[in-house]
Amino acid sequence: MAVPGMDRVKAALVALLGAGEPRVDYFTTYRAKVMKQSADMTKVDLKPDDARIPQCSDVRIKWGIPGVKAKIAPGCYMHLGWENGDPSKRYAMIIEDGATQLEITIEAVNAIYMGDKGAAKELATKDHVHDGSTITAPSGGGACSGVTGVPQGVGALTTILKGA
Amino acid sequence: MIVNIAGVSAIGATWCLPRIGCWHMDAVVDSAEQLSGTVKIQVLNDPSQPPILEYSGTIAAGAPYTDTGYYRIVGGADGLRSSAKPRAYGQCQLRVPLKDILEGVGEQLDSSSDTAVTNLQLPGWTTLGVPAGRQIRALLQAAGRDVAWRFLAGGKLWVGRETWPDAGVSYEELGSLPQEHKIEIATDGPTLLPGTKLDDGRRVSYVQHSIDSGKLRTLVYLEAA
Repeated sequence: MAVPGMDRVKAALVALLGAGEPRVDYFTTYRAKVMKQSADMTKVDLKPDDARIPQCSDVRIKWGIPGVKAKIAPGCYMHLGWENGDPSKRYAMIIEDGATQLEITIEAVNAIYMGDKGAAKELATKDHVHDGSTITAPSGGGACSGVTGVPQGVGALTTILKGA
Repeated sequence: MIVNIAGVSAIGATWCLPRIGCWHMDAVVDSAEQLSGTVKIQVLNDPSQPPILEYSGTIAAGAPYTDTGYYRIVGGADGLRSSAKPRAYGQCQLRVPLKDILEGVGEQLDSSSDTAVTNLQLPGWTTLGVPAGRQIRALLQAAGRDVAWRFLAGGKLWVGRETWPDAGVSYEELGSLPQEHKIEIATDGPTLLPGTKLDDGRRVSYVQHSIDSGKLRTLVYLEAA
């Protein structure tokens, strides 16, 4: 097989090593479009950019932050990989910029903080209850409506997620 | 000894059979006609008797040159160089992606393959669009590093763990290179195969039969002890 820029002997050696064309293997990740996400947000169906990699369904997502899950709009891009290069253990990770995150779930056992923990107020704890209505807070501080126990100074929110 | 390829007499041949992978033969035949496709290799000690050995292979390359044909013949259907069809699987037996890879490139799985290997349950699998031989190697490594695979005489691929049966070959040892785990032997025919053991228990890893004008010499690469 002719290889541009190589004589036949080198081309044969390169073919032997499998290094003649851009390699595709199980030891790296590949960009793939999200076609669908499972209802529990843990898996996606992916269509890789590279035609040598098949479309994969029900690929479990490694979010990277314990307790965090996101509902993302189809059409965004993630990366498809294989644990330790094992072809039987595929996963998805890294949502690329530009994804529309429809919903984020943060399952924290004790508390969720915004900003520097030392100076921040708790956004929500297991003791806080949200009644499901819109939460707003005056920009200059003051009581928030729609939820009990929310500290002052929290900016306008449209949804609050209850901790575990 | 007579070697015929597709019914044409071979002037000479070098036949390399590895324990793992695809065998190949470089042959010189006494014919100006182009050979192609699937061919039958027959070895006879007496033309009036049935062949002592028959193998099915495929012409991978070659052509006639001044009334003589020069060919590279490989085991199976010469499909391992072709790209496998990319496909993703959920939980499945190993045989499922294996058969898909093979059939996608015109090859077949031999029914004598070890079911302990082919029935292995996989949590999932991803076949990439790379040469089928690479994918088969990756797939069988999932079953263990001691799994072997090679093309049998009938042209189908066998996979399994070695059982090292007796080679059943009478031979005279002509020379030895112990540091390379290699010996040269003389036998009545090219019937010594890899994956077998010699009468002294040494295991055969790779065999190279050299046939020239009816004379045979065989290089045997032994498994390192």
